[in-house]
Amino acid sequence: MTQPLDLLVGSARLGVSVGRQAARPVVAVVAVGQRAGARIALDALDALLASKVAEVAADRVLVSPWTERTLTQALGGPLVDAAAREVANGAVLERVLDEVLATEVLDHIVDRAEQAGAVHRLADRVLADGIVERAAERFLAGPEFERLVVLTLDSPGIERAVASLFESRLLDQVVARLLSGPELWRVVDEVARSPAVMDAMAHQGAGFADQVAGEVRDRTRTADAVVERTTRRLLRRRPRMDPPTGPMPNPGTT
Amino acid sequence: MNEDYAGFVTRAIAFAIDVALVDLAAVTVAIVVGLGISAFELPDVVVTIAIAAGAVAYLAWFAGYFAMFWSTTGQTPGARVMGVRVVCANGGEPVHLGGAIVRLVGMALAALPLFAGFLLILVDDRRRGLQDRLARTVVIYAPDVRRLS
Repeated sequence: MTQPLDLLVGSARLGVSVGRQAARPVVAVVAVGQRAGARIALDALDALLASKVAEVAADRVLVSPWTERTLTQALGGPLVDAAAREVANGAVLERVLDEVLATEVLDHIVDRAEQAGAVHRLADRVLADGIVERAAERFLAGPEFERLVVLTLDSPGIERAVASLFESRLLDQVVARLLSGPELWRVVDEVARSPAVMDAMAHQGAGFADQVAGEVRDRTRTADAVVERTTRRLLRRRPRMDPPTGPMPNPGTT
Repeated sequence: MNEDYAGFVTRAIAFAIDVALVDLAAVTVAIVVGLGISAFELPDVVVTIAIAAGAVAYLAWFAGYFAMFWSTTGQTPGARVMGVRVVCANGGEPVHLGGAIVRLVGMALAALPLFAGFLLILVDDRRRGLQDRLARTVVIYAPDVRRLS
């Protein structure tokens, strides 16, 4: 029973092999035909794109209401969001930025901008429009400046710098130079003669005299009461009543 | 007006300050005038007259000092330092010049019986001395006095 079956399988394998060998030229011809067809199609496309007809057709497509409607629908639809998501997910901007920074493109752009005077024009524009002032005001008024100052003052680097400044001979030399020169004393004279300082000193002196007088007044009031109480006790008179409130009484009625 | 009346010690110190100021000015003037007069050989009569004139001038200066301050601000410099003020007993109005002169005479009278007239301040409910009773004035603490500054 097995001999007829083996014979059948062998015959099938032989048929397949013969078929393969016979189809090889046909496959080769088809592949050559595909490549030739693709080349012809691309050449035709190039010829079409280079032709005046393509230019006119492209202009008509661009100015047609259909293009505008399509663009509006595309921008208003979810396509933009999807594109943005894809850009974000794929870190496209980061990759582009890395690529730009890795190459000399940025340097070329900066060089060309500088050669064209764009940098100076931009700087003039920024200065003329008050952008720097507004940015500085915003920075100084905002919490960032305070945080920056706090961070700076708390940093160990500042402490080391201040400590080294006080330990350095430079500070001693500066102080010695100031004390030996006439400039410091001129400033001191000017400050001492300024109306604000004179006024403050006058207030200070008057304030001291007033303070002394106030203290004396308080003590003499106490002494008034003590002397009066003692005298009345010696004379066996009743203690003095508290002063009445309200209008001062008429002596004729008291 | 609900101010308390100024007591004996405060008023005595204020008066002492005033007398010191009056005497300081008088002594200064007397020294200057005396030095000027000593440059000349004047008869004794003229010197006596000058001394008498000086005494009158001193009294006038003393009286004018107190009368002027009482009748204007109610405060002599001494009273200002001690924070007291002389006002009319009837309503706390400022003292007129006549009242100030009467008060000055009252002070002289109070001083005559060994200053007993001033001791009335210690026993009077409104702390009035003889001069206050005669001139119908009182002396009050003036905490609202303008500061020296």
